Amino acid sequence: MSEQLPVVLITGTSRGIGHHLTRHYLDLGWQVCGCSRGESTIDHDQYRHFALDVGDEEAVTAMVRDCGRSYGRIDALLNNAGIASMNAALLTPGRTLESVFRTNCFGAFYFAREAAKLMLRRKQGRIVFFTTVARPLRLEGEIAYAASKAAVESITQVLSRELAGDGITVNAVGPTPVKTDLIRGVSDQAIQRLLDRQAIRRLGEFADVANVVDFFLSPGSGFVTGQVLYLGGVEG
Amino acid sequence: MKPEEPAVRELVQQSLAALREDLALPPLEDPGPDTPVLGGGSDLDSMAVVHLIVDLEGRLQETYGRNWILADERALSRSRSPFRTVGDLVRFIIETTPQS
Repeated sequence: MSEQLPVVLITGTSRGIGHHLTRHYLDLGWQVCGCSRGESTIDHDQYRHFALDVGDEEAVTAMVRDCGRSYGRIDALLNNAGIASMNAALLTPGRTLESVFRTNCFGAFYFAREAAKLMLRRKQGRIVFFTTVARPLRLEGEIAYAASKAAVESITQVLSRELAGDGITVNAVGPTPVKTDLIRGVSDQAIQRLLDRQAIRRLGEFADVANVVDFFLSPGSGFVTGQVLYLGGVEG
Repeated sequence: MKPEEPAVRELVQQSLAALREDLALPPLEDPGPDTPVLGGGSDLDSMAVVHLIVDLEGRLQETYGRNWILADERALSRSRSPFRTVGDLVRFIIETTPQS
């Protein structure tokens, strides 16, 4: 494996935004370490896949440290893996809340903690979390998802301050709905109601998300940390 | 390979020495089990101890091929911190040796 190429770790690579970001960074010449619950859906010389549950602390630790040993570095972490759950608050079981937090919040934290340990050694790194416009829009019917992403935003902001002195930036991107499996079960009417609350009333494209991530990862963004950037003109 | 006390203590002391060099602190004159790490008698702040733990996890992994997570709930729930002295830390590392 070439040591000159930058290494990005992306979670949730089997489909949706994670899959497209993986393709995007492979096209740009990065080495990508990815993971999903199942086997890889990406076949590329510079892609290495791990099948795991991101809520499994030991499995995440083993994966990140394996990547660190194999590549000698991790330049960036894209903490994309996430699950959603549509349900009225009064009909949301505790187990749903636990499950959504386990993946979206705990899993993202485990990856960030372990990746940051490797980044600390080189005194540089970029961590990007994924939140959602459902959080600032206080979207009805998404209590578990929005609450878990609120926690992710807090993690982003606290971590950004703890790691600022070590050359590691920590930011978050908040996409609008993008046509992925995550919104498969949401009615067109519900999506339209959400879009009506955005300044720019359209679904997001994968390129919209990649553009923000490119910005956070760019060498010129070393002075940008602790920021949560929502797409579509949604205010935080 | 099973972690034994003298080898683990050596790793801890190596890690401490490297950290002190990074922080431009004077080397420890007579490092041993009673050498303070965090808290009373130590000149390391909590962020320095974070760096120490991260470095130690890497050294332990390289030496024993296992993934320690030293700041786990067992470490945080004890009345006496396992990061208080070198001896406490060595005992804690051996006690929390991962199965694989």
